[in-house]
Amino acid sequence: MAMDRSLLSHYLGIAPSSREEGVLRLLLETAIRTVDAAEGSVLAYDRDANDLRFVMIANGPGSLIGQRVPIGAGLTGLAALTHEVQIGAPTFKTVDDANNATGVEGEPSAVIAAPMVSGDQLIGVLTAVRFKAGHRFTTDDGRAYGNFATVAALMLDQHNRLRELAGGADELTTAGGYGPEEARILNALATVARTRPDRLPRLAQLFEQMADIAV
Amino acid sequence: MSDLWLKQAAETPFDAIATGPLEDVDVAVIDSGVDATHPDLAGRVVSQWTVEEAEGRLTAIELETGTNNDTFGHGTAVAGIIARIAPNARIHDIRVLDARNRGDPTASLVAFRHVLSKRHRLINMSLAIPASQREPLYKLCESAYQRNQIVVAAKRNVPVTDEGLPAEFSSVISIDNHAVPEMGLRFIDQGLIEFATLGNELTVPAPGGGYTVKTGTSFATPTVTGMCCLFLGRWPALRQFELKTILKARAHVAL
Repeated sequence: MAMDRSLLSHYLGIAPSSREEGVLRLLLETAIRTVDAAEGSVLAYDRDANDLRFVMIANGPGSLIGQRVPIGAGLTGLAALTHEVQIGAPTFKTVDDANNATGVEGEPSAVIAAPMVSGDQLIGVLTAVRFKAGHRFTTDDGRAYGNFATVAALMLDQHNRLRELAGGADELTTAGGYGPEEARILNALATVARTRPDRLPRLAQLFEQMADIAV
Repeated sequence: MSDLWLKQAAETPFDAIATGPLEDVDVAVIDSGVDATHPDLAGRVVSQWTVEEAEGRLTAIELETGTNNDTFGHGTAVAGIIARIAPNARIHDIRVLDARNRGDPTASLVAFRHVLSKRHRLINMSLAIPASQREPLYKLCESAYQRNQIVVAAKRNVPVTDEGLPAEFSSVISIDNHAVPEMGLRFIDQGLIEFATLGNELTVPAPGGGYTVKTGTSFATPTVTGMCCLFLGRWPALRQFELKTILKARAHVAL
């Protein structure tokens, strides 16, 4: 499993070693096993550049991480623009070749591209790839992969909403491998320290009292 | 339509209709564009348009006919299926998917207004439009129904918040993808989606002249558009509800 933590943080709002990163990895691995794919990946939507970037790869070449995929062509771009699961195969010269699924060694024989969408907003695309000639994905494969993409999008959306509520929308707490709850508390404290430092002594007192009660 | 017509329409094999006398039917394909240079589509695409921003607003701009207007392959596959089934289809390509407009859903509304104004008899909509556009899209589909323009629309492959728009509207013919024989039809008893046909592993034309294999509701939908094109070519006065009646009758006959 290859990933770039800074890309995950930048595009998906996931802190390194957080529960969300683990859940996304688990979803991707489960998704590719469910549809019997050889490889899978998470591509994040780069709103500024209006393209997609590989941020997580399962069973595939780690060198893909960070590479950009244009949104104006291909199955992945189509899934991104239509917000629909797309199931495809390579292009062949003739109808017979297409029917016989004459494969090329090392080239994908089938692809699923499933969009991760929150409301009308694109978060990214989950892809699955097979390489064995004639091994195409079915409608059921597409639906299953699409369901995983939906759950991934929901998880990321909820995570980012919580982060916004905690006042940490602008910056992500990544230091020390804190879990999301710790990150929320630290983000809230950072906000107070930045905007109302005069309240910090009172907050310290409250935390001490809470610790006495909780422990 | 008399009962005899209905019986004929419901029972005549598609091949027999396709090889009989047919009037031309204008079919709009609102999609990712069409490669009109593909051998399967040579001479079949009679106009090509793209919806792009011009002077600060999205508008339908006419392109030179006979060009490759598709970078995704989706619309070429859809048009190829219609052209294969219905020799009387005059295909109008309206491209709404473009990286530059970031898949702006209002591009599809602009395309809909365009095809309504052109009075194209059949409109294939294999793309689902986001729910945020439900209200204006509903009005456009009602307008199409009132003008006797027939919209055939795809169900979403993975319905989460909706089954697919405009497929949910009663003013359109809505299509799912089921494992039925090629050119077979299934009537769906319950829910918002009415009919299903084969959309699995269909060999279709790809941009640039080759062929690929596609799966999904997007590719079941043009099969029904092609069927409707044949019916309208043979019985031009048919209205939308009559087409649904014929499709339902054929679903019972075929399965």
